Amino acid sequence: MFWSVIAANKRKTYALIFLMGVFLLGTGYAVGMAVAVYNRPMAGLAGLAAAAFIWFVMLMVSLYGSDRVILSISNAKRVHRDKWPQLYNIVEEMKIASSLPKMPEIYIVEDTAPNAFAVGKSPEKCSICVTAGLLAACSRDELQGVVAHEVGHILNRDVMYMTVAATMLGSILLISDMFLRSFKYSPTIRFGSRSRISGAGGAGIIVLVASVFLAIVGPILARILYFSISRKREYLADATSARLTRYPEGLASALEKILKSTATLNFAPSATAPFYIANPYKQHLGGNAFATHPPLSERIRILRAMSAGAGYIDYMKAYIQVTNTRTSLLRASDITDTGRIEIRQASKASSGTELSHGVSRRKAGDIIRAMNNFVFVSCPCGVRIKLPPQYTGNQIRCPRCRRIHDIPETDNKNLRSILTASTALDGKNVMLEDPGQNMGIDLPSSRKQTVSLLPGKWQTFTCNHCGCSHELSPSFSGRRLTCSHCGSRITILQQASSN
Amino acid sequence: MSSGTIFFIVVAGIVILAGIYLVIAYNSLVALRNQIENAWSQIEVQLKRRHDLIPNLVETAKGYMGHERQTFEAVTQARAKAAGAKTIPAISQAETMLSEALSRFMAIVENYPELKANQNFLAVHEELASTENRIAFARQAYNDSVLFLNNKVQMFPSNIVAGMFNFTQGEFFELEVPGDRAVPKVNFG
Amino acid sequence: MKCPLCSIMLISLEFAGIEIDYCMECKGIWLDIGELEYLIAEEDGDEYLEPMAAVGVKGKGRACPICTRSMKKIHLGPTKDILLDQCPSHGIWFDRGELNKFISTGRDEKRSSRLVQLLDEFFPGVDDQIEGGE
Ligand SMILES: [Zn+2]
Ligand SMILES: [Zn+2]
Ligand SMILES: [Zn+2]
Ligand SMILES: [Zn+2]
Repeated sequence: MFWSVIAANKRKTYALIFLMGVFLLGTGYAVGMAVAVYNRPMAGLAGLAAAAFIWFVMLMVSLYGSDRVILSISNAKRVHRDKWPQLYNIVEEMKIASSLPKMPEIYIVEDTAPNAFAVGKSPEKCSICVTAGLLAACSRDELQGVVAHEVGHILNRDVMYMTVAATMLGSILLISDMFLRSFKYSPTIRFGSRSRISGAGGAGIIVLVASVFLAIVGPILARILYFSISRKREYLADATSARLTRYPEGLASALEKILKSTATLNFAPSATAPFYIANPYKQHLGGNAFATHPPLSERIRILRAMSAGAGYIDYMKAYIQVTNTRTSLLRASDITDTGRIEIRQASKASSGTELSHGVSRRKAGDIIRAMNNFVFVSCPCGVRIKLPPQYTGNQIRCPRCRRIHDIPETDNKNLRSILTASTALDGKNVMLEDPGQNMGIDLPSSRKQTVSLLPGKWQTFTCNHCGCSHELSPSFSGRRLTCSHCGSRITILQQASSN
Repeated sequence: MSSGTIFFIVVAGIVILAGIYLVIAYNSLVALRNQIENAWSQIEVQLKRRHDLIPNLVETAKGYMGHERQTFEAVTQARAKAAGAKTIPAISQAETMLSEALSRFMAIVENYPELKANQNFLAVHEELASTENRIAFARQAYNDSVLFLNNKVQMFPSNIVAGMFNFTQGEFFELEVPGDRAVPKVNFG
Repeated sequence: MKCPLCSIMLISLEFAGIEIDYCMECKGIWLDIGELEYLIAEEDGDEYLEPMAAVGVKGKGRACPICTRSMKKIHLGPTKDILLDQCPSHGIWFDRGELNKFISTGRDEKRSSRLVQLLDEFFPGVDDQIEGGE
């Protein structure tokens, strides 16, 4: 937590609220004056009053409802502990590490691109959102790094400033959009008689003037917001992440995955983008979306250059080394390291497997489906059937092997179990024990294979049918396996065991 | 004004200032002690959580790795010892041993892919891993506070106040997890 | 998502790393935008598929399963004998058997074999029916 940054963000928030007030009142007055024909001062005052009212509403919304608004436009769904225990645990760990006063609310965004953001007006009341794509692509350590980065934004009050700014500017854009729409589509204006438009104080004129004005000013305001976003904020949140997790590599490799996914075709659903002022949230980890964001590759290099420790001091040194600048990120008073913060080891729980873009996208899709109560049926032939909740009927026939399955009740209590289930089918080395000993179908002999188990040794063999390789642990005790890749049946011959 | 009066005023001023300092120093020491107690209770919650998870872990693993009896016993014994420890040094030592037993256990689990794929085991494993992280993070906060208190207790002039009101140095909570002292990662390129 | 032909709900099927949306009724296949490129790329490297508007096709387009706007009739890749429905922002619809046909025609035999084989494996029944019908 950096006191100078916090103070700056608070200052900016108040300044923004003030500027917005001045701007709105000015607009209201100007519009009132421009429109009035007979009673100019009165019209000006009326405009002023209307603007004051709008400002007040905006203020209330941005202070008390902004997070809800942003969350609902970003397609985020609240998840509780049992939906994704690992995510909850990670957030709670970071809460302990950062001494956040309260546990943040956790949301999953229905988006297959890996990303994350935080909203909220104070550390007491904030939410952390991660996309399904992030959950699908990241290991535990990586996820921890990203969550800690968001906690960094919360601690530094970046989130407070961005939330207030986004709602204030967003509502201006919304109002101007409304004006423009009513101007464009209202038949009385579009096809109305000349006399009506030039009529004294006609509603048409107000709408016209205000909409033209707002249409010009709205984008300018958005620009101003972008430039007011500190360039340093991402670096500082990275520094906090490294310090909190004591493991800079976690965030570094998460950022690398985000970088790769934006480099390849990005299939982000465009339906989530109408409130574009909220996009800085969606895009901020993704970087490069606009100029105020430092390039991801540089942030990754800085994190990887931290070899001596995970403290703020170490991050600053790495920053200077990588960016080759003299200007430091922080004041000395902000560096509150107590002694050397050592880098911890990678956690063993992390499944640091490199997933191809297609696989993690598919997994992300499964998470989104599970969030929307799809039913998953795994057929022993290797096909996974994913049924939408609207699917009617109690049975489904597997299109591949024609087995008939009963459709179970939706049971997506733990979303992550969906993911591990699909890992079992993807992973070339994961073996599935034949679930029902009788397969029902007689496989051709080319898809049957016998392997004899060597006692006390790891061994690798290839499936004769599809050629993928499998591993058997020394303690493997099963007698039959199904190749997770092609569904071939493999019989394991156990030799007399050594003990 | 006589020199006596001036002397009196100076002395009175010093006494008042000293009194104010005494109150402030005493309050900050009390606050620090409460902070330490609070941090310690955080650790205790997590340690308790870890103890509660272990029987669950052993139960889940037994079905898959029946002939690894000594490993189970080592973990169960270490847990019993840790649960019985009372003083901070004793807890430190017992918990360190429990961590070692657990990491040996986890190393052996690596040989049982079927166990590693078991949903129940995955769930317990995740809880255990998270609990260990929480202990580590809570420990850091606790030790930071202890360091702060100890500095005050030892250094002048707060040591006088500490001595007057019987503030003693806090005890650090050490938890040496094998391999936690990571080798600094060197990256070329 | 609803089938553009039968308007019943599509189901998703995943097999050996391939995922498609499938209609149980008409056996048609929906591929999200980018999905086809992903499938082909595995086999052929980065081949970009330029959709070509099919000229002279009349009639109202079928509804995109995602946005329900009417889709365009297109040809894809080197062959002109398969007429597909495409929503430019969401994906492509293949009628029954069209995906197999599309992937197996106009391509190097060897390169496409694994994908075709996988698709055949995916729908052994469908192939039987097609063969039986001819
Ligand atoms: Zn950030
Ligand atoms: Zn099947
Ligand atoms: Zn259909
Ligand atoms: Zn569409």
